[in-house]
Amino acid sequence: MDRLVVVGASLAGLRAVESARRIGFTGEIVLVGDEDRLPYDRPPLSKAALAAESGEDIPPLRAESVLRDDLGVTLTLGSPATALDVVDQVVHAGGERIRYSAAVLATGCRTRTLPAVASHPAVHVLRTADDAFALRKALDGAGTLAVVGAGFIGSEVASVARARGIDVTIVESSGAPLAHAVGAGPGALLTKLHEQNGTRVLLDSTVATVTERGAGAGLVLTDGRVVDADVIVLAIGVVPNIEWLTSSGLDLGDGILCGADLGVGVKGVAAAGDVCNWPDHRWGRRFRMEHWTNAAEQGAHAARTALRLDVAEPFSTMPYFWSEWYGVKIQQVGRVDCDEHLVVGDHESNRYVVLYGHGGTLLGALTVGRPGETMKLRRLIEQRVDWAEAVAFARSRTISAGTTGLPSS
Amino acid sequence: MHVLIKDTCQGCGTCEAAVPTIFQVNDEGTAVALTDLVPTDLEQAVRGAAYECPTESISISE
Repeated sequence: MDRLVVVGASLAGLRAVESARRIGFTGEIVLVGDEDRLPYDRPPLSKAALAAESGEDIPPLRAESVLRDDLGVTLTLGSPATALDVVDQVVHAGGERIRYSAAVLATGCRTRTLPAVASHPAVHVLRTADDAFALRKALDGAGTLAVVGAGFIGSEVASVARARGIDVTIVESSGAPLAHAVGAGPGALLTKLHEQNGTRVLLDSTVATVTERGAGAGLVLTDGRVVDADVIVLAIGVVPNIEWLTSSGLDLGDGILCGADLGVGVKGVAAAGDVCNWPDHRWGRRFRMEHWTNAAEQGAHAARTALRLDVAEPFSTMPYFWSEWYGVKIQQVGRVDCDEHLVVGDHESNRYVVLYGHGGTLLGALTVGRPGETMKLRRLIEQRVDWAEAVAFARSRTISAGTTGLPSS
Repeated sequence: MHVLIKDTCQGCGTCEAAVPTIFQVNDEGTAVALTDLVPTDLEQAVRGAAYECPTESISISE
C-alpha cells in the first residue's frame, strides 16, 4: 500500500499535498479535516471577512475539482481525527480507520477559552470560517464590542469593528500587551494605535463573568468594573490540537515535539504548521509558530520528510508575520526575543521600525507603517549584519523617506 | 514571461523575499514589479513567488 494521509485540511495540509505530488509521489493521498469545508485561508478571517460589506462565504484555497482531479486527493472532511496508531499505521478519523504508509500531522490549534463566560450567547471566538461568519453577523447589529486580549487577533478585530463605527473596549490581563510577541516597549507603542483610533484599552484587567445587561451583556472584571458590550470576543490565544495523539506514544508538549526534519520519531510520519514544535538550527532553539508562511513552508517540508525515508533535511524558517490595524501595516521578521531593541523613525505618526539585536548582531525587525522596509531588513537579518550597520541602514532609510515627501501618516 | 501585480496585493512581501530584483514593496504597502519582462534565468523563481504569494496577487503570462 502506498498512501499518504494528511491530517488537517488547512494551509499546511494543502501544501503537504502539493509538495507530495511535486516530488513525484504517485500513491493515494487522503486529506482529513475536522471542518466540513475545503482548505481555506485564515488571515482574512480577522480582517476583510468581518467587514460589513463582506460576502457570505470565503473561497477555498483550491477548488474541489483541482484537489480531486488534478491533485488526486481523496477528501475526508467533517471528520475529526481521534487517534493515531503508529504500530498498525492507522489514522482514526470520524469513525473510520485510514491506513497509511506515510502521514503528515497538521491539526493546528483551537482557541483558548474562558469557561466562566464562553457559553454566553454574546461571547464569540475567532478561528474558523464559521466563527468569522457568526461574529460578522453579530457585529451587524452591535453598538459596543468588548475584546478580551490585546494580541494580534484581538487587535485586528478591534480595528475592523472601529471601522464599522462600533464602540470598542479591549480588556487585557497583563500590563504589557504583546510583550512576548514584540517586546514590552514596542508592544506599548503598538497599543497607542488603539487609543489614537478611539479604542479603549484596559490593562491589568481580568474577566470574572458575564451578566445580562439590557439587550446586550456586561463583561464583569475581577475588580468589579463592568464593560457593557453587545458582543464579546475572546482573543486570548490558541492551544495546539494534540489530545487526539495521547495514545500514540508520540512526544507531546507545547505541540508535537519533532526532530529537526519535522519527523516525529516514527517512520514515515512528520508534523507541520501551528501544531509542530521543532528545533530550528539557524536560531538554536525550539519553536512552535502560528504564522502563515511557516505553515506553508512546513507543510511542504513535512511531506518530503514523511515520504523520503532516507533523507532527513533539517527545516529552518525566517519567522515572519503581517497584520493591519486601522489601516497601518505591521510586519515582523526574524527574532524579537533579544537583548536590545531600538526604535528608528517617527512613532508619533506610526511610521517607524524597531530593530532587535543580540550580541551585536541584527536578529529581527518590526515595521509599523513602513511596509517597504520589511524585506530589506529581512535581507540584513539573513546576512547577520552587525548592529551598527543595521542601525545606520534604518536611519538612512528614514531620512530618505522624510525627504522624498512621503506622507507622514 | 511577463509579470503583473494585481490590486489584491496586501504588501506582505513574500515575493520581495524570494526575488528582490523583480519585486519590491513600496511604502504604500503594495508590491511592484520592477520590470514587466522577466529575465529567463529568473522565470522559475518568479513562478515560485507567484505560488507562495498569500493573496495570489502575482499574475504571470508567458
